Amino acid sequence: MAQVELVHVTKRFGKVTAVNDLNLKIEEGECFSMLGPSGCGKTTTLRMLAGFEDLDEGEVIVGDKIYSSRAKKIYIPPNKRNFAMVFQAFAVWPHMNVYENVAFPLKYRRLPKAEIKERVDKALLHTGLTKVKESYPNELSGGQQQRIALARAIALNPTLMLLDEPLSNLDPKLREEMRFEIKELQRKFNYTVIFVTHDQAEAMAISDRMMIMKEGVLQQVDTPMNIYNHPANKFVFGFVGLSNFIPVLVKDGGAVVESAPEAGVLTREIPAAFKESRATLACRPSEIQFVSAGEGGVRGVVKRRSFLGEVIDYRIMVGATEIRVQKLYRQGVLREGETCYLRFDRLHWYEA
Amino acid sequence: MRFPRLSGLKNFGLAELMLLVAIAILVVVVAFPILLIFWNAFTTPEGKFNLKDVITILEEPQTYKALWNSVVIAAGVTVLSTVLGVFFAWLVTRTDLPFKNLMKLLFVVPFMLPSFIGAIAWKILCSPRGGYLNVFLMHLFGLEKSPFNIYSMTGIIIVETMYLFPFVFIQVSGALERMDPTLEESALISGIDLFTITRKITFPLIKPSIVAGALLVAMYSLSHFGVPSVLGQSAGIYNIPTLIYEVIHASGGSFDAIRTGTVLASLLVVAATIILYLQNLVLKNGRYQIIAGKSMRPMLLKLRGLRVPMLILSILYIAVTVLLPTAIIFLVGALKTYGLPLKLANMTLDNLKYMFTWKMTRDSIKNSVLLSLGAALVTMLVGTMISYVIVKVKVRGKFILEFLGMLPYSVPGIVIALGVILAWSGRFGINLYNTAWIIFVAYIARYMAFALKSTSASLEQVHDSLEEASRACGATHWQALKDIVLPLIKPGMVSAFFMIFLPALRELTTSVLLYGPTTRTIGVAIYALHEDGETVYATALASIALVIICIGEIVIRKIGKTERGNA
Repeated sequence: MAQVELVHVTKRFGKVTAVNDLNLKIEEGECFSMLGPSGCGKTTTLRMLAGFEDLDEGEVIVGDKIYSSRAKKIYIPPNKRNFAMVFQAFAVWPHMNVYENVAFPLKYRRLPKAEIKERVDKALLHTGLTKVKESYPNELSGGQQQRIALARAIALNPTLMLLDEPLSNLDPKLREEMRFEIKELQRKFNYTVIFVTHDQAEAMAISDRMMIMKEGVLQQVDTPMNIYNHPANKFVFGFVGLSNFIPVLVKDGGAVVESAPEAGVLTREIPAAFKESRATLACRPSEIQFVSAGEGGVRGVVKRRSFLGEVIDYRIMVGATEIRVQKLYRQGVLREGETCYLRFDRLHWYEA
Repeated sequence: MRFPRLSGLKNFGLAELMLLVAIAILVVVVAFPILLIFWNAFTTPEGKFNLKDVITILEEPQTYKALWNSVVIAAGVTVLSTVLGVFFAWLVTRTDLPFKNLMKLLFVVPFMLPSFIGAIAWKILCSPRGGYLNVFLMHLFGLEKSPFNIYSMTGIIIVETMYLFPFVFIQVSGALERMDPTLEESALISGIDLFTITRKITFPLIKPSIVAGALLVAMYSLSHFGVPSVLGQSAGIYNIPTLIYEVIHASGGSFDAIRTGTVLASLLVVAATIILYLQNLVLKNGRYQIIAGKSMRPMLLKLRGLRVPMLILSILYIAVTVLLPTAIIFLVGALKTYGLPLKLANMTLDNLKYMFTWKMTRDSIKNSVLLSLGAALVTMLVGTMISYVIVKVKVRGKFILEFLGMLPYSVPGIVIALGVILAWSGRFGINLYNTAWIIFVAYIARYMAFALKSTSASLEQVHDSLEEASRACGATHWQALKDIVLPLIKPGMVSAFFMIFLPALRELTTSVLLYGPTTRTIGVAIYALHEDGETVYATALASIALVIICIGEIVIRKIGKTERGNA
């Protein structure tokens, strides 16, 4: 019954509003990511859920129970919440070995010895730490240390699992590996997981749904795919995936690049709101095609070509506007300085 | 950093030359005097090995009594300082005590007060005959006997603790502040209560800092001269340093007296070395990486109903240990005659004026200021050079320098003074005895450790690549040194200067053995005036010293702030 609900949650630090009137529902067994640039309020939101920060306004409800409410003067301290949290800096206790690290919280719940051992062993097994359970954290790698923190969380059998950028201190290869391990564990135990990250690829890979925040304000909540394909605004579009923003003018029923109207028309499907005005068109570098001269694309010149392995990354100049295009290596290669024609498959319209 | 070879010499370059100069300085200034102490202790005047006399001296009741007293005082001060230091450090870093930042500052203030001035103040307050506090309490409660007797082991332990406890406080509050708060938060979210977290997570993790601070207190207390000397003598309580002083002074420099002094000094050096060794052991074995990656506020224990009582307790502690003694120094320093009631009618500014007109006191102020400035400047510059060789220069034989650099840490001030007497009294062709230079040389030896610590720390932060980058841009060695390294370590050098200047200004232990008729320091002058029963003049001079120290501390804080602002 771990349905998490945040109702009109607001948190201020002095004059800064870290989280502004946040409303959110998270379903049981869901893996939910909070994504945004640093300082957007995602970590503060997580810490309010954990109980490390009190709220200035609003309520935090988990299940049927109110955990924090300024108006009703309710605040349950972190140690009474039965949540688990994994931190960016691992936060494993250096003076205890792996087994003790996982067992320590259970001992203070006065559980029977046999049950403690069973739960710790199970947690160590699922995190692949059984072999090193006698080791001390400073003898282990960063990935193993983060596994200790995960094992500790699993052994607690928490109502809610909170992860605060748990992968940011790991190297890229390990990060990808751990992503899947966390996802596996979440599926296996059906935890409700709330995951904070500033890495959009990580959020998209791991979450059932995610939210994007900016300066304390919620921008969009949806599945990763919907957010990628239907971003609610320009900020979300830019934050999730690679993006081009092209300033355009609408002239004679067609959108043309503002700095080079003569180069050709991007599209003739103009939404009603943008008739005869300026706008910003957004598109993904992968959703632009090169076409031949006669097919009516927008004319540009290849300014720079970078070979990234499977794909080639082009910077195309259309007038003074730079447009990024990514094509598979096998789809042919253009030279720098060559003239090319662009066709835009999917365009999003935003205010100029 | 590689240095060019000097032409003509195959294996001898600039680096080797710098190393040799650095070693030579440390040997002459530090190692040689200390070696002389051991040499003198264990040989006869004819230069034969002599253990019998050492044993005789050790078997004398006054020696082992003093040793016992030293150990008891050090143990008491260490335990008391640790309890107080850890408690107050925890209070200001981990609870919601009001005015925490101010309190944190105030708890370090006892550090700035010279402890022998504090001892004089407590003597005035709590001497069994006519101490102001005793008289006041006797009147208040109609007591027949004085409630406090400061002339006792307990008195010495309590007064020393007041001025040494900041060692523990600074170490522990620093560790608590730098500790990664998520180590505690992760325990909290796992369902463990704050009390258990404090016991099972926080304290085990800061234990190395606690032990390090405690051992530092033990080392200082063991070799501490001022407080036992002021409070112990009339009750016949001696510790090793005061016994050394007594023996040397009473004998007028006879060989036997000097040897007794050197045997006692050897004991101190051995004890200090053991303590330093223990400290290294603790720090090496127990050093966990508990430093936070990103700075976040730790969870604070809500004191609730105890919030105000704890604040009152802290303020009271500071009032009693800092304000009361300081006030009594200023008040008594203004009295027309010692013993008069502390009323405005009995006060005058003439005493203060007299301090500047009386040649003895005026000279002592001048001597202290000049000696401290000179010693601070020279020690800082020499220390920077030696640190540079230790940290940056790639040369074989550096370990000798590292060892010699560590040496002054374990040598108490009174031992340095004794060694300097042995080395610079004409036995080796140079006689500095009874001149200011002998104090100057002793200060350099005594404070070299401070200079090395501060400058090598800032040199370590200057990454080699910065110097190499400037070399790659075409700078010569000296240009790289002048334009890159020196500006970057300037803050470290400035702080080294003040770390020497301020303690040297209020120093007593070393100069009390070395002063001559015209080379008294402020510390010696206050001490001598007090010994002669001139309590009013002693406190008047002490007030002036306190004002100078206070100004010095404010200046160093101002400089520290602007330096950090520029960095």
